Amino acid sequence: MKRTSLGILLVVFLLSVSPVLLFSGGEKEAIISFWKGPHTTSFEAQSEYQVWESLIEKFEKDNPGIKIDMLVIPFGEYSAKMTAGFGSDRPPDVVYIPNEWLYKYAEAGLLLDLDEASPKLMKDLEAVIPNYFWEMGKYAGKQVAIPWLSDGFFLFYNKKHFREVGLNPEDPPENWKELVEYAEKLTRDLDGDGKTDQWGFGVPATSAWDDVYWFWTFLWGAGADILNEDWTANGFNNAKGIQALQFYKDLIRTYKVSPPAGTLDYIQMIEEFLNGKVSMMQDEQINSGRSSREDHPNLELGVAKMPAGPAKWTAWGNLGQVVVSAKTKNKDAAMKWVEYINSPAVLSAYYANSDFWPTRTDVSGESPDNPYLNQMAKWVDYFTMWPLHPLLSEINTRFWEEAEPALFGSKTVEQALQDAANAVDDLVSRSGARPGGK
Amino acid sequence: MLGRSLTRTFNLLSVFVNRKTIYYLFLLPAIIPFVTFVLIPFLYTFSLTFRTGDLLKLGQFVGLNNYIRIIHDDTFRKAVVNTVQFVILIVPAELLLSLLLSLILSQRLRFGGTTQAILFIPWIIPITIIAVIWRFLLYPQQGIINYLIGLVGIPPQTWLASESLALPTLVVIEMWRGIGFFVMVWYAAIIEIPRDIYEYAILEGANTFQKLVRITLPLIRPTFIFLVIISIIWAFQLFDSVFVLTHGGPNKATFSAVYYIYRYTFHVGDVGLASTMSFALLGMVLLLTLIIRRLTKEQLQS
Repeated sequence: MKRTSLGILLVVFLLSVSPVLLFSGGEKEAIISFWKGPHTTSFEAQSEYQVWESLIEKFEKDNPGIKIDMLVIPFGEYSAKMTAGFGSDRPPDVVYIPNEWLYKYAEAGLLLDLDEASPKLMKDLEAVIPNYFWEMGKYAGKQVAIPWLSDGFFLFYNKKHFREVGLNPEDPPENWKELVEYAEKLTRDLDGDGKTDQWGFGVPATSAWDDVYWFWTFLWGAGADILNEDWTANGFNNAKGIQALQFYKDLIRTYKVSPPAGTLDYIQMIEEFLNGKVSMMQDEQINSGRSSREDHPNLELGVAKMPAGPAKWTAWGNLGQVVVSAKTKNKDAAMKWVEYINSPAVLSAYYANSDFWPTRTDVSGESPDNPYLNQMAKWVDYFTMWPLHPLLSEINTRFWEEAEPALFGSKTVEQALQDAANAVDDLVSRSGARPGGK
Repeated sequence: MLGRSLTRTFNLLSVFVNRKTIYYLFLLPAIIPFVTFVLIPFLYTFSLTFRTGDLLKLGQFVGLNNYIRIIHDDTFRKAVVNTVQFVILIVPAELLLSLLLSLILSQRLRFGGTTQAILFIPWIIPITIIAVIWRFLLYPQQGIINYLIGLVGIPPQTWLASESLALPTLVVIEMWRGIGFFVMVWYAAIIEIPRDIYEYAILEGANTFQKLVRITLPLIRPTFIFLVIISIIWAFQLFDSVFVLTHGGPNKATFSAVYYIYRYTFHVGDVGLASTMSFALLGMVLLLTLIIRRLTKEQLQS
């Protein structure tokens, strides 16, 4: 009787899962899932889909039997979505990953060795992508990623505001001292009610996980770094790091040229800048794009390098790369798609609609309708890229969790950096990773 | 119709197996999803509390180390304190306000249905839209709320950027979101009370207050207990408004327990610590629920 009961249970179970078993196999079409962040029109997913629509259509027409299933993931959800995707048995096939997340997946062995998958394509791309970028696609000696897109921070300023306070709009601040002088002049109470209506320099200083990016420019400018040379400890808990965080804090609390800490995150700060409530801010080149200018026709935009720090004239820069999952079930189809999206024709079509720069030297990064982008392209060599540590995203998060309280005055700068140092040292010692992935 | 076909199936199966097995077979559609989506993830998460590493690459077995770590973890303590403060602030306020509103609505006023619908709208609005609405309302410089308090001489506040105001502001936002649901449940319980009890009380000379205290409140006690438990559980799960409005800030003032779990799972990559926190949170909610059930057991039985 017991055996019969078990038999019945088994039959019922098999019947209940049979639809899944019946329809899961036997697919003739290779479906390549392609995940990407939005880079067109102020990071909107919809416009990103629109740009890719015709490119995907052409690829599918030229490659019958391969379908592209694209997913645009907002950057706020990127880390969670990627972790869940790569942590599952069916990760996405081809993915765009910014550097802050890339090396975690490389270290976990989740990325395909592209040299092995398509040696000819890698050789061709290596010839047209600068070595500096190309090396960033390597982990532990393997080419696991293809550098695809670069970006970084510049000083955005409102020329009209400059003229209104007697500053020359063609002569933006070039160092920290001038930044304070300019920002103080630009911080104004316009209606005489005793409240600031226009802020001189906007510092995004909320607990948002990516607000820390804006601080790194100042840290590097002061001569400190996120990690030490061999990644065995932090590189910021020193006099230079203290100088950087102190200056950042002073902009908000001493000079009062930025909205109070916690008020506006990066996205809100951009809105304030575009709406003329903030006169200067550190921003990515995408916001010089056509859509920002069309939506704010009265904005007289000026762009310049971020003011130099006491040690270095630099700003945060970043690279986004294309990877293939090591678990892909359609390696050949995935590599065909990778080859296609790295072709000059596709890159040219894409960059005509985005305000970023391609990494291929034989593809023009010039924008037909964004003179600012072309101007900024001449300065990209002043970028500092962050250390390519597998726990970079975690380091960013934990650093900011401990350092941000200094901007509220609830911790001293020294204490905040000491706490951040403890947290980051704990992370790097847990990881044990070394430069180059060795 | 359904009953007849179930009986026929039952009779057919009983030829092959005994009755007890058939009962279990009928439970399978509920048991399979429960085991797949609740029990296995629950046990897996529990196993993670003894490990280090992230979801991509689990680290070594560390025994009870994660439990010891959360005891000494300042951020964990802060997250628990914030969450408990949030629960203490929102649960009584939301229950009382919604009860009051539903008592008013139960008087069958004109536009009562419209009012109920208006109250319910925030419950169905996506959190991203709510974030846009409240950011606009709370904006320090040109926000409507600062304008309104300015009319009575109160200086403008940085509602979500102030360490002392951010959590109470989230309480108000979450109350605004949830009040429609609570009003609806209270209202349903109140209108279920037979009218003749009130009519009899009126004949006996009971006034409005006596009717409320002697009839309405005792008869909606089961609803009260349900709403207390559900509101405590929801309040302990505070996450989405923190995620979109404050990111746990300023200075961790709104860092909630669930936000801690999310952040340490996906941004700090310490899934062992996050899982341990999940179990600590589960323990807290379970304990509170048991206490409430114990305290209200006799009342419910009576």
